[in-house]
Amino acid sequence: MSTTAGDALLSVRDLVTEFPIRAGVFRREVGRVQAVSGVSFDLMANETLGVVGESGCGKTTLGRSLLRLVPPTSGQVMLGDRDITTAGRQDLRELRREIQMVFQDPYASLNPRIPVRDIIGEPMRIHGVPKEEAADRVSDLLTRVGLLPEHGNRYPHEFSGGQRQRIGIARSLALRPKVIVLDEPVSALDVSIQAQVLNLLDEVQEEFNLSYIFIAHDLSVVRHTSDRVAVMYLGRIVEIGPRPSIYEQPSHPYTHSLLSAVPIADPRRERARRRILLQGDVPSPASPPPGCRFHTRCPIATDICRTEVPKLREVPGGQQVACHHPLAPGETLVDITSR
Amino acid sequence: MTEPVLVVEGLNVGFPSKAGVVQAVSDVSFELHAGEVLAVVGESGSGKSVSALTLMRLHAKSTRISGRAVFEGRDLLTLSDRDMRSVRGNDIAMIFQDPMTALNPVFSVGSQIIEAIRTHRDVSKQAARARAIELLDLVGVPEPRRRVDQFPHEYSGGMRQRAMIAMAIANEPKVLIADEPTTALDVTVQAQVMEVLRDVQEATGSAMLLITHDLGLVAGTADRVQVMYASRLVETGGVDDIFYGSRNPYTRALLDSIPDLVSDTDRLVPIPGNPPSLLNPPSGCPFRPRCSMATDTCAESVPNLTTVGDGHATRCHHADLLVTEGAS
Amino acid sequence: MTTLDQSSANALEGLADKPKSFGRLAWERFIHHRLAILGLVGLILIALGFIVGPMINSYPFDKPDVLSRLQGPSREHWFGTDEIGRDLFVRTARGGRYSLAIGLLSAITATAIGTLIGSVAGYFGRAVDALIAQLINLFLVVPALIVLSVFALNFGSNWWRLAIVLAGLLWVRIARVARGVVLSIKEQEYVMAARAAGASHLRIITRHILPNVVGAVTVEITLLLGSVIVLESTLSFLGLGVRPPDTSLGRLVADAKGNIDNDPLRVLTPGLVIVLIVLCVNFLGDGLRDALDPRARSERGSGDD
Repeated sequence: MSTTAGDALLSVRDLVTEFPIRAGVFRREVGRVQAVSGVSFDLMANETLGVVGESGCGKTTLGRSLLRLVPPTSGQVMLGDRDITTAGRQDLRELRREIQMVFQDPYASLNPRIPVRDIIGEPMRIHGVPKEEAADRVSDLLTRVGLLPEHGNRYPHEFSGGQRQRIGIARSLALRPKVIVLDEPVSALDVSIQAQVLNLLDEVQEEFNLSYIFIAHDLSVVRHTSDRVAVMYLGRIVEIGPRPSIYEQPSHPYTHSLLSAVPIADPRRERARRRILLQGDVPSPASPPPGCRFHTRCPIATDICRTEVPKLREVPGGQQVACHHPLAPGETLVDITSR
Repeated sequence: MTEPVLVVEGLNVGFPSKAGVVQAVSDVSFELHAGEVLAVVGESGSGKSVSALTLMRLHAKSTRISGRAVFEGRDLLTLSDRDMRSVRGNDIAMIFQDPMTALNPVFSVGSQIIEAIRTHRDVSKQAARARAIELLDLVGVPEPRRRVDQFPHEYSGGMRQRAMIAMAIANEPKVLIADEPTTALDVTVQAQVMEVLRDVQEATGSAMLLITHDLGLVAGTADRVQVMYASRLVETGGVDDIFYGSRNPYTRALLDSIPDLVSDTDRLVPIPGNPPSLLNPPSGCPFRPRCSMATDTCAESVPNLTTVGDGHATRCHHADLLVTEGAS
Repeated sequence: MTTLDQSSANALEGLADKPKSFGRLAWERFIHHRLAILGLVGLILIALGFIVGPMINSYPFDKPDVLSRLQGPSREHWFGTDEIGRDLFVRTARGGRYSLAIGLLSAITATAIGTLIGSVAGYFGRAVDALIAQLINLFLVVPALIVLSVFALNFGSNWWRLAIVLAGLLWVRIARVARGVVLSIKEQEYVMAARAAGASHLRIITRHILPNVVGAVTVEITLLLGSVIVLESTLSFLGLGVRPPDTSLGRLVADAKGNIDNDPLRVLTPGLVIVLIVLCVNFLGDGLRDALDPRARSERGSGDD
């Protein structure tokens, strides 16, 4: 990382989040799962960092760790000059005004018993915003996300999935944060509604001057929304860089495989495509392979990959890659391993 | 073209409820030919899954069904329970979305495949077991001799889906119905499983009805496509016709609204509004409230499915305005 | 957003005309549940019968009238008389009142203890939860009747003591339900959202968790009521419950059992009352469970096709 923590809005260094595995009558800890295994990156103002990966890669845990909804085990999450991971209760409350979250499941992210205006207004109430001002802001936010102020009196179950996500977005904006972590915000929505919500997120980002961390498994959606992209595999970032670099000149073999596996809604392209098919499934995060975690499925793995953990290094395409054999720009895995 | 294996005519499926009848499928007709992949595309509420489940007669007793589904000279919708049971898993097989719940956790994978075989074929247990191992190998499950005795929870998600495919093709069905077969899987595993399905289909020559909401999957797998919206079939045609020359505003709007892996679109063009209620559908064309081309005619009557090309039909009053300007 | 008038905006968004709170939806579902209403009405009628009946039929419950002993049902003695001439209807009514009172008191006490302990276990998790969970399991394994009998012998001589003793054993049922609900709600994204906004533990428990626990617990209470009535009746039948001359439904059955060959009606009557009460309570519980089931979405919710 060439920028100092001073330039970046959010600075994450060597973040590790582990979960204990408990067993037995008294639930003793018998092992640990490292969901996030040493992640570092910076987030600049007004930018969107997309985080992609498949199940077990740790992206959701990463998102939650950033807000300390899940306690990080070690590492730093610097928001400005304060570290979220070690902040005291009072500081943490302050910090939470600046970084918020939009959740994946529109049906589980809103308390069914509370009217919408209270759902959106709750963060403000917690932080002591005066009632009248809060009520005004709630109306504004509802309008801003494409609903009517009157809808504040209704209950979540009266709305559709897309509308609920809008309410969730309004709630995340209530405290005027600087950073919003979006955890699969459109995965649970119908295709025709996804576009509505993505456009809304776009507009809101400009208007409110926000930075986004956009976590998703859908590479097409991430491509559309992100300025920079981080690819995660089993708790680590394997490749991170500007969007065009990642999508057009990927360097890590996993990124290549991921991109080649994504279906494209274009029959001629699909027919002409040759896919890289990885062997086997993603290993369990509870017992990750040694060395480079991808080596068990990598078509170009060698001895060093089995023993030495690769570090993130800059490559000609402009991005950083954690690989012992990064592919050059224009080189594709299909050349190396014909199918 | 070959004779159709399955001919569905005027399928209507309604669910009675306290508030009235929820019409989940209205007037759906199509033909399925041997060896082809027909994709049924739609969002939730479109009726695509309900159609498939109804063809397999896996619906509740209270469901109101009308229409015909002719398979090998018999109407599936009027078959007795007994006759239908001999068809399921034998001539027509189904692959479900969630492999974890589709496989019984208390029985070994092998025993479930064996059961699928011995329900319809009079073979010995050893013969069935040998066949099960063969099938697991065919679908790419590693070490099939060992894995055949393992339980579903010992398999990963992708392997479970493969096991389900093995069960489905055990008796060489003529029709395979795959209901969102890869939605619950990671994208790299999805690619593997679709490859297996393709290979299997080619090997057995069966027809496949692929139900999905993923247009990318359709582009890569389907020969023909059927688009459903709010219980109706709104467009049907060859895959190139649908993607490059659609004559239906909903299909076009859908294609315009999805983010693409390759093109660099700045803003997506969403479809405004929400899908309609199936309890109280709008008058006339169901897509009218969200359609940019809607006129008064559209409110008056539901358009008929009209042929606009070779094997290409659309349900729109203004299909003529949509003559294509070329590939998207 | 353009300026649309209220109702067309609502129609466009597909909303009903008036806001419907969760409570209101639940109420609507409950009203439509015929058996539940039957149960509710039944209980009210029975309770009324117990209270008002003796006022009309003015025989005292404990005054013997040896001349009218062992009579069958008649216009003066609606349920007949027992072996020392006491009016059986009045005794049944009195016994019924005790049974209901014991049931209610113990249900309320058990709920208070159970909800508190169960919620604490669910919310704070780990060690606290492990301990409480084992405690709950212990209580569940113990045979209720035997423990109760021992306690009743030494401790429960009047009705409210009996109620406390019953509560002391049955709170675990409520605790188990409360704990389960809290455990599942704790992981819900809306609780996480509240934490992300900076909410304190207290706020999360009172505003987000408890209201959702209420639903499940309410259902359990009605079922508990049924169990209490049966348990109390059994204890009284065994002679360990309410002391004479006071009576309860179980006691009435016990008193009548000696003469069952000649006068089966005398056994059946209080027995039938017990059955009716428990049945009504169960219907009510069913209705409440259906009404408060959070998985039932509104008519508007989209589903899979």
